[in-house]
Amino acid sequence: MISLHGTTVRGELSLAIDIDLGPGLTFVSGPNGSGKTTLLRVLAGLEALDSGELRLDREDTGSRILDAPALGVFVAAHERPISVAFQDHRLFPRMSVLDNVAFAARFRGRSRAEARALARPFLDAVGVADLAARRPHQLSIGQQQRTALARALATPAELLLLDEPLAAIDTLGSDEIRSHLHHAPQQTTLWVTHDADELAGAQALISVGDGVARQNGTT
Amino acid sequence: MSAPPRPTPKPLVVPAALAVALLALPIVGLLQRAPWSTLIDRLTSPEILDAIRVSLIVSISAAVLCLLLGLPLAWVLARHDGRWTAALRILVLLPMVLPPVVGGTALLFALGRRGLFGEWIDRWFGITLPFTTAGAVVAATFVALPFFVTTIESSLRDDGASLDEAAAAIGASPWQTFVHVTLPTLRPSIAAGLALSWARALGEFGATITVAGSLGGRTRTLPVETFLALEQDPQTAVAVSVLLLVVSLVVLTVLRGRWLTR
Amino acid sequence: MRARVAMWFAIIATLLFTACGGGSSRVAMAPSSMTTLTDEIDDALSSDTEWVIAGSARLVGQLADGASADVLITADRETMQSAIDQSLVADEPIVIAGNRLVLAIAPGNPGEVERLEDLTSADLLLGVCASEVPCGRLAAEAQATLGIDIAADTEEPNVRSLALKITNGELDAGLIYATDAADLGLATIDDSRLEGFVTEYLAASVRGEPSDITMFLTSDPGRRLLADRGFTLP
Repeated sequence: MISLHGTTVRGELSLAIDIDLGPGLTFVSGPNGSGKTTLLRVLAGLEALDSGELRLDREDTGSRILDAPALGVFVAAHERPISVAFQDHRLFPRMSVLDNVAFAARFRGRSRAEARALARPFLDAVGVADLAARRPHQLSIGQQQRTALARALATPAELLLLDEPLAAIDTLGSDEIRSHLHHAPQQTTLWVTHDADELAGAQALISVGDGVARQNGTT
Repeated sequence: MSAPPRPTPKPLVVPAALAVALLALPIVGLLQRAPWSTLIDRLTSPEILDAIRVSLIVSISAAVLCLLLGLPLAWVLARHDGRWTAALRILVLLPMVLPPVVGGTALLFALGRRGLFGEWIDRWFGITLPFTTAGAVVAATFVALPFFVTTIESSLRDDGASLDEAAAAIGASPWQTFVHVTLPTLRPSIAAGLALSWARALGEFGATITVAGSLGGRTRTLPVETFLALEQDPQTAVAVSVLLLVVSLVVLTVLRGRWLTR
Repeated sequence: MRARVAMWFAIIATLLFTACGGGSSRVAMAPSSMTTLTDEIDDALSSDTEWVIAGSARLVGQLADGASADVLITADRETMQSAIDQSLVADEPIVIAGNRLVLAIAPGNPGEVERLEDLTSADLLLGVCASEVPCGRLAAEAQATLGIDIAADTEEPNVRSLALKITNGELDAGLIYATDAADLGLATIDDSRLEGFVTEYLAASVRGEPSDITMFLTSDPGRRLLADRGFTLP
């Protein structure tokens, strides 16, 4: 269970957040500029709360505070058990597709060969296995997005944050990936999307708007 | 890109031509005075070979120091914004505008044998910078560092912090990010920064002569040798100048090629 | 807008012409070691002098490259000879002063230099002028004649930079001109063996008209001024 209650102020935008996430897939919707991305950035630790508290509760290890300005606690992004697929992909330009996806395993102590072996299934899952040796600049936008998604999926994390992960991928491809994500294990996943079809089938939904991010509960 | 040629506004033509003349005429003048027939002999005399050796040692060491010290500094400047970094940035640019002799004198006041810190360095480590090759390296690094730092910093800024975030968001520590993501991305800029700072260090005269003096085989670099040769043997000075000119042209052409193909 | 551009052009043009035009005053080329004399000479003479100060060889180089001057003063005989060889001067040069080589020591004498022989010690930081310049030639001559091999840590391109490095204590001692030691207030070690090593200052007219600077420097007030600044007199 991840609970996030607090506010963050960034220039014009002030966002009050009031959510408790359970395992599985939760969709995030809201108009452009409402603060969906900010919500993800606060969770990821790329932005800090101005007030309130972000807590990670687990049955086995207990509660861990990730961000609480009042207590002076802030866990840096790389120390959070969280993985992000950015809307603008942000692939590492000097690494092949395979090495981008293998990167997370590499600095978790795996050898190059081990990390690559671990990465391959994720390339398969998003349909870029045949592009493994390419550099990011040799990919189409859609292929870049698939790679970015594979990189996020390949990162061991308790919370997976996906910012419009299928926006640049054609319908056929996105259906495949979507079914893969829906059948993913009980990992807590936040999925920002504009797609009405995705939202229609949503089990859990967070809507962001008017400076507030709140849970709509389950439908 | 195949934009149609844009007509140059007429009032710009004459000043632009004058600027070209100002830059090109001295080179023509130098080449016209060059003792072509004896060039090789002059450049292979024992004194000049010594100076070439000293210059290579000093300029390459300075470029390496620029890399080791300047890369971290450039990272700090590119990734932080605030009053202190603004002040720091001015400090970094200072050696570019300061007359090198003034820079050298300031270095002496700080690190010289009677300098503010030099006295302690001498007492604790027994190292004196003045009149040593190490001193020449420090002087050359001082003047070359801004060229390296600004090259790297602008490149770091272009790439922005977005890749740093991407790496952090999948759990890479800042150091792992720097080594595996930032450094590989920076490689072309590091090459450019090294070439620029090396070229600047190679041509350095004022700070070197002030801090390190001039002793054949130890601190007498090519520019110092040129300056001395002007007194008695201007032809040799011109020959050395031609050598430095050619080296600079090669370095800049290689850099330019890199910039064009980026 | 147009008027403003025109105004700036006018201002810049005026500045350029003022800068390039030059007055009608006489032009004197003098070696660096005479820098401290120029004010007094200006005071003694009624009309203005434009001083061109540089190393002697460079002055001759400038003349050869077409610079104009009324009088040329060099800090050694060889350089004046090269001007004569290139027909750059109009009359026979005359000796106006001399400058002795002295052993100057840093303030407080940190190297405990007592005599000329101490300069062979590799433990001291020592300087001479580079052999390409007159004071270096003189120093080389002195070393050869006296059989003393100075363990120099630097061979400076001009006597002034050498003298300054002794003054600020970066060097323990060095062979410089008496005039620079006097000007900077440096202590010197007296050694009669150095007395023979003097460079002669020669003055020659460039255009053939006798120069009142030369006349002043050979007059009694001029000679007093030279002696006061540490020069020897012919």
